[in-house]
Amino acid sequence: MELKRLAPWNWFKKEEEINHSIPVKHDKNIAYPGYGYDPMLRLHRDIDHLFDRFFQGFPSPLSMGWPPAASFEGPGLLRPKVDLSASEQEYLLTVEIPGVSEKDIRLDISGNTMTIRGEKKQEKEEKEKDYYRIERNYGSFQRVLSLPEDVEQDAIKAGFKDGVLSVTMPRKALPKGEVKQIKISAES
Amino acid sequence: MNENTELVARTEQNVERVNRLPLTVPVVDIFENDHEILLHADMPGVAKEDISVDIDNGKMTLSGTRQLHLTGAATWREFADTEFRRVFSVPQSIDIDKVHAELKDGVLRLHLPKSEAAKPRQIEIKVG
Repeated sequence: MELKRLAPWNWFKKEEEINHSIPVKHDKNIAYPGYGYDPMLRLHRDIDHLFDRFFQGFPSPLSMGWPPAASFEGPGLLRPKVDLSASEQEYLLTVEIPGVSEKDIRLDISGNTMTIRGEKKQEKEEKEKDYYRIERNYGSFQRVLSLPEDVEQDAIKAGFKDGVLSVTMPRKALPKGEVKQIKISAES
Repeated sequence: MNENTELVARTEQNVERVNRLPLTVPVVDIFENDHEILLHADMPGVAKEDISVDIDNGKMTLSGTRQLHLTGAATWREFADTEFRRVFSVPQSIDIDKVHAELKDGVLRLHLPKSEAAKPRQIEIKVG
């Protein structure tokens, strides 16, 4: 029991399950319809992808030439970036959702699963204009989090400021396992 | 001995660099119409006071810092505190004095109006 509490909680257990249950999302072969399905080719691509990710991860003093940080990525649903921190009293979740008003964000909790979803819309007035570049992504976004047992679900509060959603989740004290002390009587 | 003194001197020079936040390049949309160039930059979590836009010698530097002051230990990090910074080349046709910006929901909208001389004009043709 103690060990279980020491291990870091996997907040994304549910999200991982969802992602794996939709194979289409991760199937890169779709972009190359001529190849069909080839396990080796797929492996190659996965490794390439891994390398790309690895080298992108380096902070560089020459960041000016670095590819812009996409706050949303992947095909299908956009995944806004989240940060989590924990203190004795509460968990704090922060989500980067720029360009969306708080009315367009939904925060649902069912069971131990919290879902943050909404839609980032492109403003209409701009469509008539010529554009040089569109780097920002638009569309529906979603993040799914598995809440730890000690979250006081009724006391969760959320606020939205400057494109960052912050969710405060107070922690409650879990009932401790009862310890029974047995009296040792001295035998004479 | 000489080597030692040199080491000390260098660390003193680098104090500023140690405190620097990791850099993030903000994603932008750039539009143009007859009157202005419009730039939208995603800078979530940055307060208005922490954004600076400098135009100098045809280069515009857009910069903003985000410090979220989170409590407790970080258990998962995808974005964290950062400095958003990006440099753009600004065409000469921009009227620098009229550049203005607004910040809403973490998106900076920067308006770069074109100078009168650069706007498209229709020349009236007179019948001789």
